[in-house]
Amino acid sequence: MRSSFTRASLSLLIWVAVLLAASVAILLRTSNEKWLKSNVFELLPTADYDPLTDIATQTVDRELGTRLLFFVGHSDRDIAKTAADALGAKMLGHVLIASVTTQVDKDKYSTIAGFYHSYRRQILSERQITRVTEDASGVQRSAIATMYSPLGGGGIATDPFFLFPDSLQALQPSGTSLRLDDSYLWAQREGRDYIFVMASLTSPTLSIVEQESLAQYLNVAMANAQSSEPGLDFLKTGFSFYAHEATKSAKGEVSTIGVGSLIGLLLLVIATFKSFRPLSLIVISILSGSLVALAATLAVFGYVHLFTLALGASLLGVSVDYSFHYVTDDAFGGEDWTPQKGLRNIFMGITLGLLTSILAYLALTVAPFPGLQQLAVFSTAGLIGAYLTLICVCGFWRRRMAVNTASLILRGADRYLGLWQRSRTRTHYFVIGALAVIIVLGWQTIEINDDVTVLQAQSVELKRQEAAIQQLLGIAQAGTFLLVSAPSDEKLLQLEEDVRKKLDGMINANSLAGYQALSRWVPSRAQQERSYSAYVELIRSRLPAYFESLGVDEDITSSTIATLSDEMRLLDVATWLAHPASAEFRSLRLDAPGNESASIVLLYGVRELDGLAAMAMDYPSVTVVNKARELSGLFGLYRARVAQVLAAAYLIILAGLAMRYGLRQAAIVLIPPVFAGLIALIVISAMGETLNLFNFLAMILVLGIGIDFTLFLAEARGELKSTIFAITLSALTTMISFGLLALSSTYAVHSFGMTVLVGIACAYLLCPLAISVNARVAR
Amino acid sequence: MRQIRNTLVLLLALFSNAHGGVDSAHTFEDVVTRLAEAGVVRGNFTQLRKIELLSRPLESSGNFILSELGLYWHQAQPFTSILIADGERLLQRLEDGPTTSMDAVENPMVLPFSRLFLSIFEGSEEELRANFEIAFAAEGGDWEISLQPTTYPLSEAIETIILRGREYIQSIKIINRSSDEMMIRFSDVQTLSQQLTEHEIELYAR
Repeated sequence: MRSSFTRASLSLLIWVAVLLAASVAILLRTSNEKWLKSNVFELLPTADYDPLTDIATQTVDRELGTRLLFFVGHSDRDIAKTAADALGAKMLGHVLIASVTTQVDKDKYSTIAGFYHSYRRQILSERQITRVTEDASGVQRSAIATMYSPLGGGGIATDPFFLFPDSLQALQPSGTSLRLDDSYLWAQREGRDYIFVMASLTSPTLSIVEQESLAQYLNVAMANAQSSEPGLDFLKTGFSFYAHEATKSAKGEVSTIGVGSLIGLLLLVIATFKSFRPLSLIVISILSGSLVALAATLAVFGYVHLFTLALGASLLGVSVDYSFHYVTDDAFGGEDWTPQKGLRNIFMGITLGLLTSILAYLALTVAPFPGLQQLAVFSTAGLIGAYLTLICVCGFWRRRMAVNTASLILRGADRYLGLWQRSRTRTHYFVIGALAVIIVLGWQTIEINDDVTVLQAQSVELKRQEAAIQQLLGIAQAGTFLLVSAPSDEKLLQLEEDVRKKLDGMINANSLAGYQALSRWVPSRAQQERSYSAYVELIRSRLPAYFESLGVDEDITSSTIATLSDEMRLLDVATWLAHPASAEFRSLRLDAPGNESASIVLLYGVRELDGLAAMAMDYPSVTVVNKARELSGLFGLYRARVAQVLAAAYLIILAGLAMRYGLRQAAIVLIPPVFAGLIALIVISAMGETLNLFNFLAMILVLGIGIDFTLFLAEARGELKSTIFAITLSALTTMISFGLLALSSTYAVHSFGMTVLVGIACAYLLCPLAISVNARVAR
Repeated sequence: MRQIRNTLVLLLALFSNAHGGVDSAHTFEDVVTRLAEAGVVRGNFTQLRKIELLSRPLESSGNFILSELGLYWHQAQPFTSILIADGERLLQRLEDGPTTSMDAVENPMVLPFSRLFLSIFEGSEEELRANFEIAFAAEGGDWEISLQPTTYPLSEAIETIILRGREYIQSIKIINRSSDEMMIRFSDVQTLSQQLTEHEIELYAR
């Protein structure tokens, strides 16, 4: 007795030390405000890009991630203008806003015009070159008409045929349907005038605190504006708004799931036990498990993601099982039951259960998704924590537990077990056979959709505002772009010009809205030379007659010809980059590693991604980059890989079990969780949902948890009745917590929860198959 | 350059309405108050343009219509050329030559102005005051309004616009920042009919 007391004290000491260490670790880590993350993108794997594509995606992500777009609307445009200015000024007051544009920069246009004016002979658009070479007399007549027109004719000395304004316009077709009103950009919608406001953030990824601070700041600013001017409305869009909404809903879900699981657990315990004592053991075990889980996750990753907390909360629910087994063993134990005996009874079952669960969670890490890796660490550590807690402290619950024998759950479970116990082995085989047929037939009907955009939940209100903004702007900007590379700048620009002809074709065919390309701002040398010769030819052949008809002195004519046909000064990329005129577009040119030259062509309103990809196939050094598409591909790839890992895991577990039970009995232990997983997928498919990676990941858990049921039954040393009772309780708690996940608005989380819910229900219903194994394992 | 086009539309708008009154105007408000009243305006013009590079000014003449469809500017001398402008688009056509056009969507820097100016048609003194520094002088029945653009990009190109009139606007003078000048004189202005003829509607449509 004395020695056991010392051992108990020692284990208690160890347990307290572990918890203390975990608490200290958590306190240390959470002092950094970035310990909790919510950005969905941090959960996703980084696609296997080459370094250049990596640079390009980072550039584009930064551009898109930092941008916030607004429209301020009112039936009176002047009121909207004032409100837009006020909003802009207000935003600048926030530390996270790097810049705000409410009015077009008056100097910007003249800076660009000033820069290109000295290169005006080299930047004729393709249409202008054609016109100048094929219809020089028409160009001359238009110029004369312009001179007489009340609405034009400035700059005749330097641009006698008035080609420059159109050349300049062609450099940057606006692509948008915005109009200008005294340097405000605006558009009309449903009879109201909307002023365009653009802001950029200091960083594309904001912490949760930063997101919240910015969102509240803007909401208050907009609400205040509306209360003093009720006719105003605001539209906003930006990645960071979506991120904030996602955080908000994830936070809501974490607390719903947490509170829901806890209430479910409470009700279960109250309904099945005669006292609250079991609850205290269970709660202590869960809390310690959570503490260890959080500490381990923070120690390994330095932060914890909201997604981990949401799913991890459910996974931890599994740890309740260990306590359940102990508590029920106690309740059903005979007069001579002691904590030591009880522990011994369940030890093999819960240890095997822990090991298989850990294996299952580690299998989650086959997909290199940071989110899943964190989940695996969180859950593994949590389970170990809960397991150790039970072993270390259970001896201190000296008063016996008692079961409410009238409990519906107990009676139901008992009756269900009896059903199987009375049935013959042949019936068992018949059930297995029938289910196998159903699975084979049902498997043909499942449908898979790896589209990543479906997996994310997006706020309906934000989607509505984004759609309205796209309608006002006239363009949709997606994360699609072309990555172009070549051995030199000149080759790069020529390649881009070639690709742009195809893009122009797609614009005409209405499958693309527009694009932004480096070679538009800096034409290739070859293109500049074509433009230059066409221009000089026009000057030499047409200027004398044209100027004579206007009455210009001959010597002025000849000096103008001399000036306009002097040698071409090449506009090169370096010159452009060094000039303020390139300010907004510099990111089109990439800093390629090595001697390579590379650029991105930003695409707007891509309607046919496949056509685009097919076009790019013709060029070995042009690639279409679309993050959603790459990720969808990756999701499909990992879905297949998870299926393979699952198959391998089944075989390894089968081999391991075969060593203990023999092959045939091992198969019987394994069949319930395997069938349960497969049936879950078929049932979910039959409900009209498409399957994705997360359904398959959840199958790993169905295997990991479901196999516990059969193992406990096969290994039960005490009353089988108490085991089935414990299994019933753990199946119920698992279904409660994962059932709550199935309510999630994030489709990925929903798929995960749904699969576990249905899978565990099936695994539970089938687990009594293992009682025949129990009969054979030496008692 | 192009801004001037739009300015002209504005000025014609001003002109068309202001001249409709019979009483002589004594204040800027008097002139502006009449804006809303006139319907379709028709008349002849003579335009004289002085440009530094040219040894002689360029002179042209023709007729015009100003209506709710916008400005129809038909130059008959020294050659035929047609210009149609409203808030949304600008068309220029030479006799049997190509039509060049631009619309507000393609060219956000230019056209919204003509829209603004055409709206002055409706007699918005507020709009005028928002875009120009205004000086008004009257002596006897004659008056002179001088407008200095205060908003971008008009202010970049134009120094001053001077309107002179008696019962109606008789001339517009635009002085550019580049010191080029343009003078447009109007004659035989009709404001009696309120409606465009079918033929005129076709002119706009072409």
